[in-house]
Amino acid sequence: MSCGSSRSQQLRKVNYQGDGLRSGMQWDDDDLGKMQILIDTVHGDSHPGSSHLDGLADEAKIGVYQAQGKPAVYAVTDICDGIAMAHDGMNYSLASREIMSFMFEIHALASPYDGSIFMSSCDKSVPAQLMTMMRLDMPALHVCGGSMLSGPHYMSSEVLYGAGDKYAQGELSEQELMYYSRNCCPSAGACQFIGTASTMQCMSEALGLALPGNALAAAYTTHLTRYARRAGRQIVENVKNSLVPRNFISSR
Amino acid sequence: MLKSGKIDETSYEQLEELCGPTCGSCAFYGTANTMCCLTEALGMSLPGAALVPAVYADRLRLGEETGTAIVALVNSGLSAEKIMTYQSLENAVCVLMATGGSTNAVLHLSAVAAELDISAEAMMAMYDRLSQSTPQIAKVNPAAKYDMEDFYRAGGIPRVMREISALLNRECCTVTGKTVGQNIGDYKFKYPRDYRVISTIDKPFSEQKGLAILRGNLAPDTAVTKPAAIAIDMHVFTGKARVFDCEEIAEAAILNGSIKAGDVVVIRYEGPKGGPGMREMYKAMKYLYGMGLAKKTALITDGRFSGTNNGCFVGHISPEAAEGGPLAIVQDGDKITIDIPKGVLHLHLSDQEISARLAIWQRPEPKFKRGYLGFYSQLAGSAAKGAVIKPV
Repeated sequence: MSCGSSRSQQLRKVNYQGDGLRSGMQWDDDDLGKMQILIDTVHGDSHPGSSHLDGLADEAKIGVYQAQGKPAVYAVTDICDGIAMAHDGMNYSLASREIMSFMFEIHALASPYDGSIFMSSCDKSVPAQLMTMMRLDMPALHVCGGSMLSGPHYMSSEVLYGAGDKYAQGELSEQELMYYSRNCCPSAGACQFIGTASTMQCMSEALGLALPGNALAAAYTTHLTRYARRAGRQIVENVKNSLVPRNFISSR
Repeated sequence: MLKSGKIDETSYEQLEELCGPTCGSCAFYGTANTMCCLTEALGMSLPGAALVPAVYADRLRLGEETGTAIVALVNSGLSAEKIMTYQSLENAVCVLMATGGSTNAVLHLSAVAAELDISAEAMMAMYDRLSQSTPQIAKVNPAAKYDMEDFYRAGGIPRVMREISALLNRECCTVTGKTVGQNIGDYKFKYPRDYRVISTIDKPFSEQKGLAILRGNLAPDTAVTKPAAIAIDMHVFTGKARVFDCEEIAEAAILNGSIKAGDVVVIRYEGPKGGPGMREMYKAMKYLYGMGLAKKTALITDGRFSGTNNGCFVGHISPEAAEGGPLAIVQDGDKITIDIPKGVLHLHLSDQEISARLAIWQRPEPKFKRGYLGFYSQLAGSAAKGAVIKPV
């Protein structure tokens, strides 16, 4: 595939160090000449909404390779309100959105890449990535990290909002509290209710920035992983067609 | 060299395949390795941690030991602000000077110091003082042919610190829970000494300053240079200004032969706000070298340099041009003197002339208005204060 005029190939003509440095991480001649795709995830051991995104990023990489592109995975993890809540850690919650968005922009443009896949599940990371996609003059698409499975009887972490108070007031035994605590989050993925995280996944899909049907797919299912792989193939197409979110999402 | 026909495509590809044989930070003593060494000198990483090559099993062992160490630190309540102090910053600056580290370290250590509420002025005084009193006892690529692996085998930072221990604050606390002095004494070296890479304090490679802070009417808030990378007969240089408002225009001028011996290339609007982000005038310096002008010209800027640059350069000029520093009013043909022994960067104009030119100076539009760079170019502080972002 010819992509001689792309951002990444232009860089190779003006900065010879880049190829040498990338060969330090096993990029060979074929890799260097390919369309270069950033896969930026919010993977980390930060919370279950992001802890599975490394595996999902691997799927997206396969998709990019299938379409003859060369992927590179970056990460900036996000924080969880559920864990930051009830102390002044919560002051960082909304404020973190801006700095994440800036980091995604820096990743996409400092190297630079020809197209980007952004991958996230939760309430600050999804808008941060959408903001970056709108800012970049670059083909980009979003992969939703999907939803957590439910606990018994559709139980979710929401049950602990009330249960903790009841326990503190002596209305709930420690054993009952433990039952809720240890069973409400049986897997990775965004919270099972339509809170901000799931809402933002839906917004991403509704804006046309995630593949149709991707939002809310359950984490660890092939239903979700297929979207990641397809996204890898799709971004290569989008680069070929110069499909830039800034241009196809109108301001009116 | 490929472009000028000095090497062919095959040798170029061979070079490319050979130059990055593994992962890890760059194999020369640039800013990355300098910062790892300074972290160790600050007491914030385990002894020896800076220079173990990335692919050694010892590097993984070090990761494991670091995991153990952090748990011990939490148990003992020894937090980073007890380790990073004015005194441990002095140790880091000593190691910076003793090893001929990168000019960027000045910017980064000042930014760290700002978090500790240590003033920019105090840090500049520290660099000045310790650059005069610390001999350079380690010499690594780009200052010598020896690479980072050689530096590691020669004993790395523990050897450097043992050698200059008389100059260090040995009572400073470190992440081992022990003092700098105890760490230096306890360290077990794995390889024999190599005096070609790390010498002794009695026989230093150089007594002259590794890095130097300059001041003067062209840099009222300081500028930074690296005498260790400048030929000794270039330590005092006077020439005529050739002024460029960004890196690319200057590079084109160097390449098309319009820069002559005796010129001082001025590249401005490349500071924290102006650049924005203080780009490294890496290529401009390499082009001067390539055109055979490295020992006949100087380059001054409010931007930065790479740790690999050699030649007469002055960077981090503060205040920067975009903030209305005197650099903004320099014109082609103005006479400029760089005097490293005296610590001076001087523009041969009267104070009245400088004020008159500044009075009619107009701040150019920022190069970026959107995105992070638009944000950064509004909020970035002076290079003399570490170029940290701060509220307007």
